[in-house]
Amino acid sequence: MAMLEVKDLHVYYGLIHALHGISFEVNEGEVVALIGANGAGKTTTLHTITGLLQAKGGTVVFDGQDITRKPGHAIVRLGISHVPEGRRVFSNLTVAENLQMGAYTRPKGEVAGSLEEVYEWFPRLRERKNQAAGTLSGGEQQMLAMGRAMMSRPRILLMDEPSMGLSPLFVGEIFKIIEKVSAAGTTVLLVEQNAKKALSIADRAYVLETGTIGKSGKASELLNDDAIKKAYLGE
Amino acid sequence: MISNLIAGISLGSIYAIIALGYTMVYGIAKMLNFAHGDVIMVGGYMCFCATFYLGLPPLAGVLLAVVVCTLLGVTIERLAYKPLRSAPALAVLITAIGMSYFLQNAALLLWTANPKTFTSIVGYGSIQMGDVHITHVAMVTIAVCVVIMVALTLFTNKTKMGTAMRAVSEDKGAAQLMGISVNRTISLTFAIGSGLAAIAGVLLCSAYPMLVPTTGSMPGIKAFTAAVFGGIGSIPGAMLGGILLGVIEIFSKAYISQELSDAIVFAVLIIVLLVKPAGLLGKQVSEKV
Ligand SMILES: Nc1ncnc2c1ncn2[C@@H]1O[C@H](COP(=O)(O)OP(=O)(O)O)[C@@H](O)[C@H]1O
Ligand SMILES: [Mg+2]
Repeated sequence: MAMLEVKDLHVYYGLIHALHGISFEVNEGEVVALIGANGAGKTTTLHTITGLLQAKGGTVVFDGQDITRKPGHAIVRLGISHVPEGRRVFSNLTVAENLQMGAYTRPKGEVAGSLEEVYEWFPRLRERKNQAAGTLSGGEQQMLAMGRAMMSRPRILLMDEPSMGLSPLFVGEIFKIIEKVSAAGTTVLLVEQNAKKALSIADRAYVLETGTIGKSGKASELLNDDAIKKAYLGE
Repeated sequence: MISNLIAGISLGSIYAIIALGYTMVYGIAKMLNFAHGDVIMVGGYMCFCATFYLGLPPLAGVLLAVVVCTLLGVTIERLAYKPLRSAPALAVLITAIGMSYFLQNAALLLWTANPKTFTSIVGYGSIQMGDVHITHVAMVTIAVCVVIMVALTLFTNKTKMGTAMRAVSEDKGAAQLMGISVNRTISLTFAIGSGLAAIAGVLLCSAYPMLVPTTGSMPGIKAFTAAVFGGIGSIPGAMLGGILLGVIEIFSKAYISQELSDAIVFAVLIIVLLVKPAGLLGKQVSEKV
């Protein structure tokens, strides 16, 4: 059984039908990429999984449990952590406070240990721990958003365009960390417009096209697929 | 001069305590709770009933007022504002004004329009030092305000709940992803604001003992002004705005004109907002898209 199963998901914004019954699954230990053009519905999909949006139809099942109607704040406790599009760090809170909020659901005694771990992953964050998050650069904010999500010790990490707006140097660094997160045993669902990068580290991938799943398969095969190359890899 | 200054700080302390409720609710729920002033009035009546009808000691009266107002604030939010969480701001504003009249009319029904004479919870003593005259009520009011300010600042800056509150005020969605219940945080904010309103009500009625169903309106509006003056959403801003407003009001009354004092207060507000549109300590943030 898959760890995360999305079945026939329909989501609306008012009258706009954004997801037309999409289905996909993520198995424990995998890195699965969800790629697609701007406006395809990638963010909508992640928001619906973590309860920022409510589905009109279909189900989201995590570890065999139907979580479609679970209140948003209860979802992170199940082991699902979401790094939202645009990072959305709390800019008036310090770096350390942002990380502490990431561990909001965890017992007090465990927070210090996780904080230390995150600082080891992202040494820059330790240097800036008492700085307001709003004063960080874009790449540092992305690291903070990832660190914050890791503070809940998730079993699956959902990431929405972590490379957006970053310099190539930071993009490389962020992708290296995603691979490390995966190697450390965390399952990853990665949403990206940077399809080439995403497919190069993913095991499998799904292509989202205006609210429906188009192609799917092994990432290495999609990387060599002519139609995909044309549409998403700019070749 | 010094007597007037202290009287002004004392009145301003009451405004500051009320303004904290406005500003915290605005910061978290992004709404102007115009019924907040009337919660003050309910607090006054609760303390009055406890001491006058039930013969309880003043401190028990304060406690009853705080408990009732806290519950009232949370209930108002649940019943009137929560269903409108995603409604346009104007609909929420009108609901809040409606709630304000509802509370005033309920008070009219329960306690009639006949003024009740509130007995100060700390008596009517005063101290005289040279030509400086300070009432006990003023001293207690200022002391209570200082304690509230320190406690609230520590709470919002140093505790997990307080940090979560600041996170919610910045980005509800991201806060929810952390596992923070936005609904519970909003309830907590209303609880704190309304509990503080009860304390403000008791202090207000101790200084100005005539209690009628509209007692909360004018101080409510002044405190709202103070919150805007200081920068709405900012806790230190509410404190600063409240105290400045009280001082300006008392000084205008003493040295310029008894009748025009309110006009002068608002004139100062307008000038400040022309120079600093976000208020004295408000952050100039652009609306998020
Ligand atoms: N808040 C919103 N209100 C209305 N329509 C929206 C909203 N957010 C997204 N949409 C629409 O839903 C579709 C999917 O958007 P989104 O999930 O953000 O795409 P992606 O993340 O793949 O770029 C788009 O057509 C977009 O215009
Ligand atoms: Mg998106």
